[in-house]
Amino acid sequence: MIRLAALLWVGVATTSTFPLVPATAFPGASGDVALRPAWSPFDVAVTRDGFLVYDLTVTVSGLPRAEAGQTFVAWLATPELDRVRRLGLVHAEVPLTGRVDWNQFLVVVTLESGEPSDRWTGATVLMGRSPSALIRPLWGHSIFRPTPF
Amino acid sequence: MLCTAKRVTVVTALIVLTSAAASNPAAAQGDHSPPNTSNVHVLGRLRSDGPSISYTDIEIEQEPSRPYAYLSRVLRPTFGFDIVSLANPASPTLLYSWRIENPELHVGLGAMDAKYFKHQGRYYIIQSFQFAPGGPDADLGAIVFDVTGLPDTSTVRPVARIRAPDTPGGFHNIFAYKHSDGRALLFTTTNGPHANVYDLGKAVAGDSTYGFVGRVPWPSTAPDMTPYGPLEGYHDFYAAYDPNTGQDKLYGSGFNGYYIYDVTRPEAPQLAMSIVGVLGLQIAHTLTASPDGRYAVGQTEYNYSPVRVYDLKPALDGTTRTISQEVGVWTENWRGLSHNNEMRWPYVFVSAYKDGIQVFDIRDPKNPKTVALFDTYTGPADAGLDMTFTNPEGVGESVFNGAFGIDVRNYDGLVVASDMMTGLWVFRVDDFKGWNGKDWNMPNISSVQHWDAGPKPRVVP
Repeated sequence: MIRLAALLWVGVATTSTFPLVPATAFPGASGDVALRPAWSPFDVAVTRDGFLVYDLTVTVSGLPRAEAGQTFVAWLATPELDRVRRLGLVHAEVPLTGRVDWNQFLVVVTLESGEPSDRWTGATVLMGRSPSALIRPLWGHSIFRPTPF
Repeated sequence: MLCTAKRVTVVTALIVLTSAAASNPAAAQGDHSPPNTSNVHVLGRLRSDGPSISYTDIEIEQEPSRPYAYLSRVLRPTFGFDIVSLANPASPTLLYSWRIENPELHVGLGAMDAKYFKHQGRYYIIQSFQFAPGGPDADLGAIVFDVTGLPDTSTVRPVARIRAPDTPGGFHNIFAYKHSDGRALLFTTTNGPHANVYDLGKAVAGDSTYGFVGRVPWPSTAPDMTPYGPLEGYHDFYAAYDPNTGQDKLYGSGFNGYYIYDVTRPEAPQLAMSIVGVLGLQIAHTLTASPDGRYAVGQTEYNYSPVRVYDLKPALDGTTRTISQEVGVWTENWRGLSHNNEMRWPYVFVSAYKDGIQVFDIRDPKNPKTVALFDTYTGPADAGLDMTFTNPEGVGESVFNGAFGIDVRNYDGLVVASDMMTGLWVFRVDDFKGWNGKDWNMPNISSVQHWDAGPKPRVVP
């Protein structure tokens, strides 16, 4: 039964991608993030709290040469940056996989030096927003619509 | 925090779209902008880094010993502000730039309006921000920086971050006011149908509510259907002491009307009068008042709409509570639009987007007269802020470009303007050597606050 469910999941699970855009200082960098619902024998993978679980694959290219002691690190963060999770080291054209269970999130690639930490300290190289993070309330002020200052 | 201190001695980059304008002269705004008048002299200019469109409002300090101007910066990655020394007005010097942390992750315009204040011997700049959800700091309204130690930029430090999580989207405009009760107050727009009021002394002391005093209601009942869509709440403020009544007054521009509140007790604002129902007025954008509070000058921020002069006397007399007709209008380019103004009676200094800066005289409010004009905008007529926020240089097609902010230094009459593309401009206007209301038989009241002495104390019967 589980095998059948797995086959069915492989058939119907959709993958969406969103781009990673470069920071001004790294114009040649690019990348994307593929999102796929995590496999579950119960059709939909959710956490105990009911949040949808996705597997994600980060692929980057065009990274500049890192100097000795520097590494490119991928991170997950909420839009408010109140929660940050280290995904791992990234290398050009080498997919990095991870899992996320936040409703809205950012994927950030930074250039880090020194010991690994639980929050980035280096420059932002690439950044992308989950499709869900693009959903914003329209509060009726100029910043949210083509309206005046 | 990402702080960068820079010292650049010049007018750095000249203007981004000069070549574009040259290649398409027929499209230049100059086709419709009135010619410059010979009584305006450019003393200095400065443009530093950032996207093509990057500058919003400007604030200048008012004490001779502190020759500093503050320029708000928008669009990624220049969300922040610059401090410029005008010790030599002919050579504005970039002293310091502050940029928001993780600028690439923020969504929205960024830093919009800066105001300075002085409290207990220290000097502060308040920088307002507008960031949208989808990124950090959507609840951030303003950051207060201690700038007492200038020109030593190593002493510049943020001392308070004013957040308004109940109305995300930040503060579009702010006004710092020395209240007659002695407090330094901050009035802010919000994304709700009200303004917020903060006690800045408490804010810099670390108060957990940032010194929140209360709200000024938006007395309307429905969004204003403007040329840009429905808008509600407040857009801008001017506050001043009214020596005739002994009241502190807030002049709020509330999109569908101007609402003037008695804020003598800012905890319980009282609506004093309204300017509503004015024929052709579709956006109440900015309102300033004459030193005696008798006349008000209103702007609308859309094309084909003049600056309007209102006589508030019927409302001050108690004859009515509603003004619905201007007594005078003024424009130098009926096709254009203006943005902000600084009143130094009888002169009104205007930042007028693609028409640059303008000065007119309202000593006869029914017949305003042009005094001075200078066009700071050199780009194509249709180039303006990209309202889709997809162009990394910030350039799209809109009316929002050119002279955004203007300020006047009272002790010597120096005029500064911020152009969204061309940056800082420093001017002298012939025969304007400074301003003091007493020279015009008026109270010495303008947007410039008397931080040490405050307004004349109220007479309590």
